[in-house]
Amino acid sequence: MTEPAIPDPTPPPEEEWQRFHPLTPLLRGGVVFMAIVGYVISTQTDRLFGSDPEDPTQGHLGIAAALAGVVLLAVIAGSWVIWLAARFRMGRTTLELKHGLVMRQHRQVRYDRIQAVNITRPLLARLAGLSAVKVEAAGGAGSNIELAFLPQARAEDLRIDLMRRAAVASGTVPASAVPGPAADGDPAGGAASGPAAGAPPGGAGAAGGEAAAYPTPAGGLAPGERLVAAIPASRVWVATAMSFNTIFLVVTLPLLISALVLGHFSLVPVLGPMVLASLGQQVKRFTSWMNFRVEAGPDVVRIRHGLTELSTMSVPLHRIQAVEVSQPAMWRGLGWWRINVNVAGVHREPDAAEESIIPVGTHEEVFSILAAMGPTWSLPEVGEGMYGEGPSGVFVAAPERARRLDPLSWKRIGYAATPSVLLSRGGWLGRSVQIVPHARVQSLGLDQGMIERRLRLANVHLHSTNGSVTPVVRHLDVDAATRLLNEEAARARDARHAEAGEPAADPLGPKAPTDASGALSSLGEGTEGPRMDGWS
Amino acid sequence: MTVALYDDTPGIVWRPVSPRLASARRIATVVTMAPFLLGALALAIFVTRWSWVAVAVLLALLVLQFVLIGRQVSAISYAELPEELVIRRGRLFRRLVSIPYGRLQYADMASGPLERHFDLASVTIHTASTASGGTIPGLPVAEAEDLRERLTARGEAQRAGL
Repeated sequence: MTEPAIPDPTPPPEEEWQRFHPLTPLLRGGVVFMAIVGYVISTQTDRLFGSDPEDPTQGHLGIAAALAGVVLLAVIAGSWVIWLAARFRMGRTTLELKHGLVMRQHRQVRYDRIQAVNITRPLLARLAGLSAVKVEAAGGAGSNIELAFLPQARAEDLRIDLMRRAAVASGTVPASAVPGPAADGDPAGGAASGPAAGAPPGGAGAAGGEAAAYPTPAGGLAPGERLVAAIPASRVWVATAMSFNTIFLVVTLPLLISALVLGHFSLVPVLGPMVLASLGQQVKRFTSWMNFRVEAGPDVVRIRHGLTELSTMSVPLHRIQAVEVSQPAMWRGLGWWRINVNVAGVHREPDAAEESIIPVGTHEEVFSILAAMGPTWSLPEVGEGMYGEGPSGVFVAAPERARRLDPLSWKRIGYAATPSVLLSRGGWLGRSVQIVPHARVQSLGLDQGMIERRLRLANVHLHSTNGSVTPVVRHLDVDAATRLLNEEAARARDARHAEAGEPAADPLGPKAPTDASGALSSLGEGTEGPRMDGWS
Repeated sequence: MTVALYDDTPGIVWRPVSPRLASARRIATVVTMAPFLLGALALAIFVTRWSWVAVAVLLALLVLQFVLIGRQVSAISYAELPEELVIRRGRLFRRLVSIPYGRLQYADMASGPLERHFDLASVTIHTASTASGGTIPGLPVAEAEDLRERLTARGEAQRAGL
């Protein structure tokens, strides 16, 4: 670390502007090279399957190769110039990134807006021992910053430092309780590292003090963080095999092969791409689920995964907006579940594996992860949500009239309100339970269509931030739904008030008029920031 | 205080939106349907008599739309509770949304040319969730401005963390 240790209460010092690793331009060129190779392969498969009989180079293969080489060189030269101009530093309150020669951009992300800091290691970078640090902030996709590329150890340091600064800036942890990154463990303030406000310390909180919250990068598991789950390779094999995609492949692949063998080539242009696409998806899942590890600290859950591309994602617990524990129909016999989450401000491509805290876990693993994520969530009720059906002491179920609209799953539909979360249960062969902390409910909705009106049913929606989890309780009796809406509004109100006592939460503040520009402002002719705010 | 899809519980003031919104929406409907109606009319007069059927169908649709718009607009109402804004709308598909002021990120006011002609504006409440969908259409401009300011002020006062 380049930062000297300083007295506690003052904010961390400004750092010098730093450059990225000099190999960066080469790696960027490598990405383009891979893209060219990928393009060539894909056009060749099209030719192979006969849907595109033309040779795209029209026989001038040499010229095409030379052109590709020139493009590659130009990209590397361009990346080199861009690398020359790119600098970043950790300021007092913001992470700053300057880049661009013609269009100079100066991006800043305030530490208190940081939602997650991830490390990715694409294959080429991994070979060179480099990593990219991705900083995700409140706001749209445009508010993220990628610091690429840095030496692996430096990237780890940076991630830990950024998480520390984010926690200090958003008030989750008082500055006095945080040691410098040199980490000679300030003995005071051990009590400070509780989870997010509103959730009393629990779970790993006892692991001790600030050193637990902000570990030094000792490599592997950081001190104070524990391994909650690791997916063995055998399970990844079985889990990827047990999917509808595989059934599709089992049906279509022999069809394709026999079509090729028997000479029914008219089928090939249709079947070929379909088989390739689902095969590609299976491979993607497989590579992303390999080496999957879930680690938990007192206020963070971290996942590491990947076969060819290693990536790390840290999710601060107080950013978790909604959780879904679900079981695809084909895993029922195996007893495996997955956990998906909505995290505030994190927008990703709609890829299920990416949003999973664990893509395939056993009952025990799921419960220890849930215990780490929400120490106050009532796990017996969650268990009933996973396996139970019909009304019970805690669960309010849908009336039998709902059978007309949900012939299969109506018995499972229901909700339970625990002191800290609302649970919504559903599904028939594939089961799921959604968990929404009362303090994270954005707004509530109640609606009723024409048929539902006739059956006196209504749906209650708990609006969460964008993500793969859409919490809803369907087809309740209209009076029960009305009661749920009003009671949940009151519970959410109380939970907000309880949190307001603490400075922990991050107000998407009065200075942040829009979601997208709230987290990030940019100077110059940037593409960002139609609304400039005080801190820019 | 409980809010419900249909019943008006005592103690809650449900405010309607301006009936002028119905006029604005009817004009918009006429403008979008006019080309088809004129086309069908031209066909009926110059080409084939059968096109009168199309004219009749289009006119019937227009009348139906007029009735529906009237019912829709009269179904929209909102209530300002101590900590939440509640909006109800829809007849056939009834919906209610309850948005805590503390969750408000910002409130927008918008007024298109047609709305401006009728001195109307809509107020939209944005939270961190895109599912909230809190839009109140058809408020008189002055009322919309007042509402927006009230909402912003309450939002600041009751602001809650994400």
